Amino acid sequence: MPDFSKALRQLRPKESPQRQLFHAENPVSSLGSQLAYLKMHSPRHVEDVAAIQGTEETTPLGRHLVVRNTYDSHHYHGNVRLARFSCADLQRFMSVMKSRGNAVSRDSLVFLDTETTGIHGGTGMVPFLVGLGYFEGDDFHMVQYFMRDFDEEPSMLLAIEDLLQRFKMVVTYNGSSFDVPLLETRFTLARLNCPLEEMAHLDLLTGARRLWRQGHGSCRLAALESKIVSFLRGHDIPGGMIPQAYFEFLQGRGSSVMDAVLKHNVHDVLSLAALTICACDRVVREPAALDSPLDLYSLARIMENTSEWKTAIDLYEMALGGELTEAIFLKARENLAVLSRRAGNHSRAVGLCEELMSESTFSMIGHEGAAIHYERVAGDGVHALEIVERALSRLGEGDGTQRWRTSLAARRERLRQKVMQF
Amino acid sequence: MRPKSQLVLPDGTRRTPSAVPEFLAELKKNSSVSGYHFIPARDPQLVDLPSSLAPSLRSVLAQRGIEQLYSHQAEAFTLAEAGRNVTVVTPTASGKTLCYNLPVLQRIAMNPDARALYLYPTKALTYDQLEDLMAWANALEQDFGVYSYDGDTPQDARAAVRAKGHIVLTNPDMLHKGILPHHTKWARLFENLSYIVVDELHTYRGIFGSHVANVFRRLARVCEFYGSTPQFICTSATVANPKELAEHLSGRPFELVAESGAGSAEKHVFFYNPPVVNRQLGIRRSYVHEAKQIASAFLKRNIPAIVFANSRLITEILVRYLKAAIETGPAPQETVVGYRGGYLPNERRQIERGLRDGRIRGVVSTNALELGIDIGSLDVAVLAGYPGTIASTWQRIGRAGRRSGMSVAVMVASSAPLDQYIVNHPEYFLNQPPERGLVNPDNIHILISHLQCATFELPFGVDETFGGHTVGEILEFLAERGFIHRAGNKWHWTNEAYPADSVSLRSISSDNFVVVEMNAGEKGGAEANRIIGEVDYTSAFTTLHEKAIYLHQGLQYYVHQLDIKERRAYVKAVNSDYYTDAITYTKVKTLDTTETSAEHNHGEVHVAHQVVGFKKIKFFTMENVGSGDLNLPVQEMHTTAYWLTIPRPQFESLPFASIDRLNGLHGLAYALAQLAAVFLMCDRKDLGAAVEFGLENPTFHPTLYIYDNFPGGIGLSRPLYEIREQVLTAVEELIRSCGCEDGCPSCVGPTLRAKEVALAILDTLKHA
Repeated sequence: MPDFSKALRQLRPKESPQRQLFHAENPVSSLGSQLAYLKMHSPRHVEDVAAIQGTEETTPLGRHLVVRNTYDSHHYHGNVRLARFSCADLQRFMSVMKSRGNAVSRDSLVFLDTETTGIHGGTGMVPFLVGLGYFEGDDFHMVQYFMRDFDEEPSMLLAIEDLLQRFKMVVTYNGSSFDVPLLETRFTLARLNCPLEEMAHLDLLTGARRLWRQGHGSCRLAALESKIVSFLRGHDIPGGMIPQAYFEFLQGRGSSVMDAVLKHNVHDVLSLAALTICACDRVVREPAALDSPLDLYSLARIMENTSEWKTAIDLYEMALGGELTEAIFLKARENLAVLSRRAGNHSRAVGLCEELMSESTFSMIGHEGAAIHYERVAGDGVHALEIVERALSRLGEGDGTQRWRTSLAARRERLRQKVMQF
Repeated sequence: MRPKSQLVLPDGTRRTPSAVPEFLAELKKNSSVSGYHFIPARDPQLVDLPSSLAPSLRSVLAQRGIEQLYSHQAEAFTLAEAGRNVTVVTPTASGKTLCYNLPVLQRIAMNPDARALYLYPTKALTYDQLEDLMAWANALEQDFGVYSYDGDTPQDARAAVRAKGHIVLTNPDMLHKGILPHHTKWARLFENLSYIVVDELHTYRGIFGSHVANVFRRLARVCEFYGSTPQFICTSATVANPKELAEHLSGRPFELVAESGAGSAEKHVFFYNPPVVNRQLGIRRSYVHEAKQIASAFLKRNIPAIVFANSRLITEILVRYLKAAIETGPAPQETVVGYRGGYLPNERRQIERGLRDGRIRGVVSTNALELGIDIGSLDVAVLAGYPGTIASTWQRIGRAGRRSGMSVAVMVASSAPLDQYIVNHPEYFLNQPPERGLVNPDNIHILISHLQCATFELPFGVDETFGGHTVGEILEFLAERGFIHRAGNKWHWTNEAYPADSVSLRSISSDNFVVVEMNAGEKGGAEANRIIGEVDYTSAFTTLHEKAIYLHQGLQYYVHQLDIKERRAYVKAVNSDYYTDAITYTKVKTLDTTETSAEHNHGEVHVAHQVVGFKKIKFFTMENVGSGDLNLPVQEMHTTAYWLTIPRPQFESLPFASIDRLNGLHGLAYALAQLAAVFLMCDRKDLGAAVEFGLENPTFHPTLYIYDNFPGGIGLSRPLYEIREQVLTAVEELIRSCGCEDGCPSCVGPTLRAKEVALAILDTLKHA
C-alpha cells in the first residue's frame, strides 16, 4: 500500500497565507489584494441566515426543495399576456417549421429550463435546479425543483418524473443539445425512467433562429426576450456565474445569491413561454408592412418551403418595400423571381431578372431566369442565347462557379442547336 | 491455417529472393559486422478448430481457407471461453488478431446483445483492424456492428456507434476523454460489455501505462455501475513480464499464452558497426549513410526491404537517399516510400496496400510500422540505429519474416552509447530476456488526476477503494481545493471544468515549447514566421536558451529569445562553427531511504534543476571558445531514485587529481543512465542522472543518483535498484570495450581521463 499521506504532504504548500499578504516590500498595492484580504478577514456565513424561500417536499427517495409561483390570466411578461397562449397557433407554428409532434392541448404542454453546475456536459454535470412552467386553465404555474445538496438529486428527479407524467410535450430553449440529454443522463444515473423519452419535444431555439437571426443577430434567450418580448430583467446573475454560485451555496455561503439564481430561472421559463407566443404570432398573424423587412424576409424563407409558398411571394414583396442589406436584397429578389415564375407571374419574374442582371454582383438565378423566360415564354431563343453568353463572360474564376459554368455551357449548347434550326 | 500474406496475395506475385544467399555471404565477410545470429526455420504447430466453435464462425473460417488454428490461437480461445483473462505474447505476424477475434465473435454468436471494446494505442492500428472485422461482419449472416470511435468519428455517426456497435474499436485517450465521462450515452455497451481487448499491451508502460491503468480502474467502476464484469484479452509483443504488466494495468489475474504455434522462415541477423574514422574523438562513419548503403544493395537486387529509422527526420533523409540510389536505375517502377506519423490516413492505407501487393519495394518507417499493421512480410529489415529496447528491436526484425525461404535483418549502430553497447555485445542482446514493462499506477500526480475524473463520472463512495487502495485522504485533499464535495456518504464533483480535458495520458504535464523561425521567407526576405519544431518543457531550457545554437534537421539556428510565458523560442538560421552546451546545475537531496544494501540505495529525493549558463564549443576541434551566463527558473520535483554512494576515503584515495575524480564520477553517471534506460525499457529522457560530492561536508559520501525524471516517479528506480549489479557490469564492459582513448559520447562522454577514472571507481566498489 503506497503511503499517500506522505506523498500528499509534498503537494501541500507551506501554509500561512494571511501573514504574507501585506509584506513591507509589498504594500497595499492593488484593489485585488485588498479584496482578497477583506474576504479572508470578514466573518463567513453572515449572509446565510436567511434560508431560501420554498417548501421541503418528501418522496420515497428523500427530500428536496420546491418553490411554487402562479401567474394569473392578467399576467404580462414583457408585452405578452401569457394567458393568450393558443394551442392551435402552436400547432400551426410547428407545421410551418416542420417540427415533429402534436400540440394536443394547452394543458399537455410543459416549459422546461435547468440551471447546472457547468456547460461542458458529461456525467459530472448536474442540474441542481429544474424549472417547469405549465398552464392550468388561464393560470400559468411555475414549479422549481431545487436540490440543496447532491444527495437530494434522486428525490428531486423522482418528483420531476411524477409531475411530467401529466404532460405530452416539452418546450425548451436549446434543449435538444443541452437540457434533454442532460436530464436523460441524470435519470439513467439515478436508475429512474426518464419521462422525457416518451414526450414530444419542441426546441424553440431552432425556430427562433429561422425567424429572427437575420433581423436581430444573437438568438440567445436573453437577447430575444428584450427585443421581441420587451421584457427587461433588471439585476440578473449572469449565466456564467451560476455554477460558482451553487458551489458557494454548498459551502454554506451565499443563499442570497441562490435566490438570484432561482429568480433567473423563473425569468428563463416565463420568457420561454412568452417567446413561444411571439413565435406563433409570426406565422399566424397577418404580417404588417411595418414589421422589420429582415423579419419579413426570414418569414418568407420559411413559408416558401411549405405548401403555402404563395404567401412567401407577398412576404418577399413586403420585405422589398423596406430597407434590406445588399446581400439580402439580392437574395430576396432571386427567390421572388423563382416563386413568381412558379406562380405564373411572368412579367414580374422577368422584370426582377432584368434588374438582377444589371447588378454589379453576378446573379446566376437572374441570368438563368431571364434565359428561361426568353426561350420558353417569349419564344426568343436568340435573346436567350445572348443572355447566356453574357452570363458566361461575367462568370469569374471563383470557387463554386464551376457548376454554374457547366450548366450555362450546356444551356448555350442547347440554345445554339435550337437557334440554328430556324 | 494458411499464412496471412497468402490470404491477401494470390500466390506467386512475389519473386523468390534468389539473390539473398549470395548477399549473405558478402555480409558475413564484411569487417564491420560485429555479430551474426542464425534463427532456424520453425514448423507451424496446428490444431483442430475447437469443438465448441459456432458453426457460423467455422464457415467463415472455411471461406478464408482456415481449417486449423495455430496452437496459441486455440489455447487463447479455450481460456477465454473458460472465463479467464488472457494475455497472448507471440512474435510479429503470428496471427494474434484471431486470438481475440474468435472468442469475441463466439460470444456475440451465442448472445447477440454481447458487446466488446477493443483498444489500440494508435488510430492507425484501429483502421487496420477495422477492415478485417468489417470483412467478418459482412461474411457473418448475423446482424453485427463494428465501428471505430475516435476523434475523427463524425458527430452524427456517434449515436449509431453507441447503439449498434457490437464491437467498438477505440484508443485509451478516447476512452478517457470521450467515453467514460459520457458513460450514460454508452449504457447499452456497458451493460453488455463482455470483453475488453487490449492490443499491443507492451506499449502501455511508463507514464502512458500508469495513466491507462487508472483509466482501467475508472472503467471497472463504470462497468460495476452497469452490472457487467468484462473479461480482458491482451496481446503483446515480447516483454519480460507480460502477465505482470497485464495484471498491473487491469488489476485482474491473468493466464499467459506464450508459446507461439506459428511457423517462421529461417532468419539471419547481423550487427553492423560503422567503421571508425577518427579514433581520438571516437567518430564513426554515419550510420544513416551505412544503413542506406546496405538497404540500397538489397533493393538494387530486387529484394524488398524495410528500413526503420528512429526519428521522422532520419526517415525523410533515408527516403531521399534511397530514392536517389534506386530510382535512377533502369527499373524506375521500383519505388521507395516513407511511412510515419504525420502522413494522412489515406496515404498510409495506400502504402500498406502497396507493400502487401508488392508494388512498393522499399519502405522507410519510424516505429509506426513496428506495431501490428498488416503489410505482408518483406525479405529484409535494416535498422538504422538501435531502436532503444530489445522488445522493439525484435518487433522490427520480425518485419522481415516471410513464412518460407529466408529473411535477413541488419542492425546498424549509431555512435550513441546504447547502440555501441548492443553492437559490441550482440550476445547480451540475444541472451537477454526482453525488458520489463513497468508502470506505477499509484504515482500521486497521476492518481489525483484520475480520481477527479472518476468522481466526475460517478460519485465516489466514502468507503470506496480505487485500485484496491483507500483513497479517503486524497479525496479530502481534493475537497480542500474545492474540486469535490461530500454529501451524505458520497463525494461529488463540484467544479465547472471537465477534468479529463486537463489530463493527457501521454505525459504528466502536456507542456511544450514551439520553435519559431523568424523571417523564414524565401531568400531571407522578411516573410512571416514559421514554426519549425516543438521541444518539451524540460529540454527547452537546455536547448533553446537565449544565444543557444539549436540544431534542427541538420541545420543551425541561433536562439534570439526564449519566451517562457508564451512557450515560444524565436530562432534565426545561421551558419556557425560552434555549437552550445548548456551548463546545468542539478541538486539532488535524499529525502527518505526506503531500501539500502551496502553502497546501493533506493528511496525518495528532491531534485532541483537549473540551467545556469552555456559553453560555446567549436566543431571538430572541440575547443571551448566562449561562454555565457543564463538566468532561467529552477525546476523542482519530488521523485524516486536509485543512488550509489562511494565511501569518501576510498574516493579520495583514488590516484587522480581532484578535478579528474569529479569528472570520472560524472562520466560514470552518464554511462549508467544510458544503460539503465536499456535495461528498464524506457526512454533515456525518462531518467535523470546527477552526482553530489558534498565537498564542503567531510562526512558526506560522494553519491551518484539515477532518478525517475517525472514528479512522483513512474516506477523505474526501484527495479533499477534490483538489477543494479547487472547494469553496473554492463557499464564496465561498455567503457572497457569502447574504442576511444579518453572517453567519448559512446561511453562516458567526451571528458579527458573520465574513462580511466570511471573504471577505477567501479573497481573500488567491487573491493569495498
